[in-house]
Formats: sequence, structure tokens, C-alpha cells
Amino acid sequence: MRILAIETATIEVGVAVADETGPLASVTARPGRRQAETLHPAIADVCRIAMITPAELDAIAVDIGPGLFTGLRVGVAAAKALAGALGLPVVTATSLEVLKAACPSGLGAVIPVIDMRRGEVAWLMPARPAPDVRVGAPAELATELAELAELAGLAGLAEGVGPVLLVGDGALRHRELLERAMVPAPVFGGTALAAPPVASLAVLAIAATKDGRCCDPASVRPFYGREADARINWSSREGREAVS
Amino acid sequence: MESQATVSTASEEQTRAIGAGIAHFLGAGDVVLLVGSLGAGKTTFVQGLVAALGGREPVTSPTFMLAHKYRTAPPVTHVDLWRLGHLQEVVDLALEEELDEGGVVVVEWGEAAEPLYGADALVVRFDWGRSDDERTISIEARGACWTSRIAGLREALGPGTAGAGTEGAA
Amino acid sequence: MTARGRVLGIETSCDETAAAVVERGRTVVTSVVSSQVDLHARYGGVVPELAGRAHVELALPVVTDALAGAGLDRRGRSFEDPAGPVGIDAVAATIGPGLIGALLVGVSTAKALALAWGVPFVGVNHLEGHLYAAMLEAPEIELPVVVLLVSGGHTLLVALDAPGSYRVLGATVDDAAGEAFDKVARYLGLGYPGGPEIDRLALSGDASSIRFPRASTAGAFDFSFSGLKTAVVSYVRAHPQVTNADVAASFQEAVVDVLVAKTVAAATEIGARGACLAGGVAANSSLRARFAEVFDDRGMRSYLPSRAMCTDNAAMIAAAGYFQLERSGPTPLDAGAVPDLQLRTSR
Repeated sequence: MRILAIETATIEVGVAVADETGPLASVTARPGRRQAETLHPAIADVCRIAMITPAELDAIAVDIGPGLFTGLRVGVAAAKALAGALGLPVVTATSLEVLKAACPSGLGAVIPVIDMRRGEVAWLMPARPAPDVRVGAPAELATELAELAELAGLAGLAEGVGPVLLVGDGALRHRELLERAMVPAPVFGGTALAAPPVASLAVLAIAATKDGRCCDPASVRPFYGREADARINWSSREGREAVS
Repeated sequence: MESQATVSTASEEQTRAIGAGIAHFLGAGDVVLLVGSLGAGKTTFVQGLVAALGGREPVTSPTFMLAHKYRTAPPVTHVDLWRLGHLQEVVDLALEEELDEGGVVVVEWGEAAEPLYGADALVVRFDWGRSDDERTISIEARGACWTSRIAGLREALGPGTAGAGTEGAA
Repeated sequence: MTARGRVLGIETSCDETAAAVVERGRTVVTSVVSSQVDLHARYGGVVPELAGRAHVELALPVVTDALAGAGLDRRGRSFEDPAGPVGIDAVAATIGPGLIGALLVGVSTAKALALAWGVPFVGVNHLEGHLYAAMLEAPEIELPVVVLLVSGGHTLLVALDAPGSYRVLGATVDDAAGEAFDKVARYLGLGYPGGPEIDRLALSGDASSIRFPRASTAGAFDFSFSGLKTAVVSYVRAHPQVTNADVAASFQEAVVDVLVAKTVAAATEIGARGACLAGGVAANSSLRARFAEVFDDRGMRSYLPSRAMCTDNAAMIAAAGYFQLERSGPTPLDAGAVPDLQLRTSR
């Protein structure tokens, strides 16, 4: 079982090949807006380093977001085309899941925070039965963190559980605000956990394929995190009153 | 403080000059929404604005491409929403990414973007005047970072500028 | 490249997601265009009408359809011989001009397909693609020809000397001709897209009733339509009783006059054997009629491609990709999209 993983959801472009033993090769770059220029040569490089041809792959994994639109479209389009052309299934994961998977477990709650730009972040709130993706202003996240601390305090869990770990570029960008949001203050992941690491995506994907959590490439779509169904209420566009 | 100003123009050249005058108040992350009917002078205004920031290429209408980006300082993304029908299509243009990377976004048919960007923007309205060549251009500063610039902007629009609620000088 | 020279073309520069397979730049095997109508049928009308995210969802299904039309499965293998070799020799995609978010989907898809199949990638200028539209339907065409490319986003006059060799003679300095049609139509309350509406309404109007300006430009073969658009608005404001039919007919007359006159002048200047229409506005009946008539009178051939070939399609991208691969080889995989790509003279 060999998987090629593609990560372009945020500021990094990453490609990795992994099998059941773990990552075999990976390449990561921060190309600014040049995701389309960087991704495909990286795929060729990673295959060369891992000494395989694309035809020897068994599945394609891709981070479907949320994150930055431009990169997301580049990565998802490439994953769909590769899988289609090679006759392979696709494994998808959200950027928040990948970030969370990259963190050490057992120390305390991990909340991944992705920077959506223009004063918005996406985060994954620990909740049962499944974690809940939220998108909003950093202040809303701060409020949720305060509530979380309060709940933990009421349940007498504050001691011994350890502080909340905040990772992702959104956490780093709004560190000042989020630091003051809860007591004890959250711990922040470093820049290595600013973007979802592609190796973590690859490892997640290996596990997912074992569980049969694959899909057809045609059904894969980015998870943008921003939906706005409203019709534009035009007043200036139509000029002349209808004349018969 | 007064957050509006109005000025009249009698030619395309004057409309271009207004665009150039406002250009020098623009910085990274600024949004300018242009509102006005067909032929009211929005693209002409952008021609002046882009040229004033060092743009060398001709400014053509971005209606069909939806956006043109100019290599100016700061870089200007000239957007046109005329063809759009849903707010989602405006979201899909990912203008946040331009703004966050130091760009200025100037939006024709900007009323369509008001739900997303209207709270913190310079809104420029274009109305037809009495004669074919005459236009009334009014600017409205929205949000703290724009209201702090209104005095300078009013000065840039030149003599004949009126505050809100008064007739633009002919 | 095999002798068959089969290129898969992908086009996502604006509203259409399109894919096509063309042999040796001349023979269209299959051409699929997912108009927005199809999109609504597929997705139940819940997705946006234009560009952006639609391409991500449509690129693979459209490519799959195009491959199937060429007798190939999604893996590029013949349905008869699924274990056989890939039946595509190169993958071409539009790299510009267009909307960055839209272009990137086609470029990323095409490069990934090329990587997967181990075939060359070719990045194509969308505008160059339009130059080959007439050739794809009229293989007997004799060069050089003048191509008038008129669409919603572009208005260009080009001398096509040979495949891959052309000279740009002029372009619009403000609005494209198609944009003027659409904006005037919506202003008159005729709906969108407005080109066909103006065309239809003009039949019942008097084209000589209003004398709209024919803009002059600094360059002999350049165009300007912004002033005409404003003149229409001014006229209607000043004459509220004028009928839409007379405005439509007079406006269309002004546009067609300028387009045809400059094409004739250009054809004469370069000693062209004929003239071709390209782009969405080439569907306009008045433009087609006048174009054919004027060149007939001068003993020159005129080529009026079908509507499907005039509007954005991937067959023209595959053709351009084939010629480019022949002349200058593949495009490196580190190429990106170029939203403001211009058409420049190429010899």
C-alpha cells in the first residue's frame, strides 16, 4: 500500500509518499502564491526520491481545506486528475484534522486554528461525538476558549489535564488575543505546526485506506469553509425601465 | 467628523484626475467600492488611479475576466462584479488573499460586495449630471481607517468639494 | 509523440470547463463543453453560475467525457485494450489570459494528467487557440488570413501566416465588443447574455434611426467601444420614448460597421487570402452576413466557424498545443497560470 499525499491548503506546498511503515519521502516548500508552479515538480521529485513511478501508487491523499482558496484548488484539482488518470481512489482529510493528527496526544486538548485571512479563522472544537468545525472572528474563538476553561473548572478538571494546545497559522497570528482568553493560558505550537504537515496527512491516509475510507476522485471537492447563498440585490445594474 | 465629500466633474479627464488624487491615499489591504450605473465613469476613474500608482499597461474593462491585476505600488486588483448574481461568487474571487498580501482591491459595481467589504471601505458613487459629460462623484469613508483619512481625501478632490448633505459645486 | 499526434486540450480560463481530443492539430476527435446550463443540471442549481469553484468540480468529469468520446477510459487507455498504452500523446491547457482561480484548475489538472501518463504538458495562450477555430472546421483554408476575434473579453485583429506564426494588428483599448453588447442589452432590460437578444431585436428596428459614434483610435486597427456604450445610455436618457428595437439596431450597426471596416482594411494591408471570424460575437447574424458579403465583393474567402467553435472550447486549445509542441517543445512542469497573458506577434 503506497500513498501519495498532497498538501496545499495553507501557506505550504507539501508532497509525501508513505506506506504502512510510515513516510518514505516528502518535500515541503513555502512558495507564496506559486502553489501551481511548485506542486507538480514536487510530485515528480518525491516519486524519484521514493524510487517509484506514479503507476506504482495505490491511492492519492489530499487536504481539502479549509484554508486559502487558490492553493486548495490547485491541490484538489491535481489530486483528482492524478487519481483519475491512474485509476486510484482518493482519501481526503481536512486541514484541521491533519494539524490535530500532527500533535502529540494525551497531554491535553488540541485545538487547530487555520488563518482564513481578513480577520477570520477556522478551528476545530473538541466535542462529542465528533469535533466541530467553526469559522469566525478570532474573538469568537477566544469566547469559546473561555467557556471551555470555565467548563473544565466546574468539572474540577483544570488541574492535571494540562493546558490547551493551540496549533496552526491562525493560532500564531492571533496569539496575543488567544493567550488572554483562558486560564491557564493555552500553549502555542511552533512554526513547524503552522501548516498541516504533509507527512501527517500521509500517515492519516494510510490508516483511512485500511478502514476503507476512500472515495472516487470525481466526488472530491474542496471544503472552503465560507458559504454565502444570498443573491446579490442589484439596484444599479439594470438601467432603463422596461419598455414594451 | 464628516465622513463624506462630493465633487462634480465635467469631463473624463477630470474623473481620471479624481482617481489619481485618491490613489495616493491607498495602502495595503484597502478596499474601494465603486457604485454607479452604466457609463457613469467607474472604469475612467480606475484608469486615473492605476496610472497614478505607476501602472503602465492600459486599463481595460475587467467585466469578463472579473479581475485584472496591475503591477503598481501597492499592487491594484481591479475587480468588476457586473456579471455576478450570488454573493458566493464574490467570495470565490478570494480577494482576502490579495488584501492580506499587501494589495489594494478596487471593485466596480461595488454594491454587490457591500455585505462582505462594506463596513471598512471607501465607497465612491458616480451619478450622471445635467449634461452628458457631467458627473457627480461622492466619496464616503467607512470604518476607522478610512474616516481618519477623510480630511486629506477631501483636500485631494480639490476646490469645489462639498461635505455631506450639500450640493456639489458646479 | 505517436504519428497520430493526439492532444488532450483543457480550457478553464473563464466560465466554461472544456476538454477535447484533437489529432495533429487539425482533426477534432471529441470536444466537450460544460456550459453553465449543464452545470445546473448536474448540481441542481445550487452552485454559482460562474467560474471559480465550478471548474474544480467539473474538470475531471469533463475530461472523462472527452476521453470517452475518443474511445478511452479515464486512465487514457482504450476501452478495447485497458492494459494497453495510454492513447494520449500530450496534454495542453490554457495558461492565460483569464481569471487566476479558474486558470489554475485547468493548469493543475493538465500537469497532473501529464505526470500520471508520462507525456508532455503544453501551456497554451487562449487567444492563440481562437486563431485555429476556423482551420479546425475548414481544413482547406489557405493562409495568410486575417482573424477578427470578437468575444465578451477580447477584441483583436490578427494576421495568421502559418500555424504558430501570427502578427497582432490591433486590439480594443477599453471594452470588448461582446461586453458592449451585453451591457447595452442589460441596460435596455433585455436580459443576459445580451448578444443574441440585441441580434433578434435589431431585426425589427431601424438601423439608420440613430447615428451612434464610430470611435476612432490612435492605432489604425485598434478598437474602442466604451464611448459607444456611454452614447447609448446618453441617448436613451435624452429620448425616453425611443424603442429598444431602434436602439438595438442602430447600436449593432455601429459595432458591425467598425469591426468589418477594420478587418477589410487589415486584410488588404497584409494581402490576405481570406478572413476568419472567431469568438462568441461571431455568432451575431448581422456581423456574419456583412462579413461574408464584404469579402465576397472583394473576391476573398470568408470563414465563419460554427457557434460551438467560435465560443470558448478546448479543441482550439488542443490544436494550439499541438502546433506549439511541434515548434517549441513541452512546457516545464513549474509553469503557472498567467492571468494577464497578452497575444504577441510570433514568427
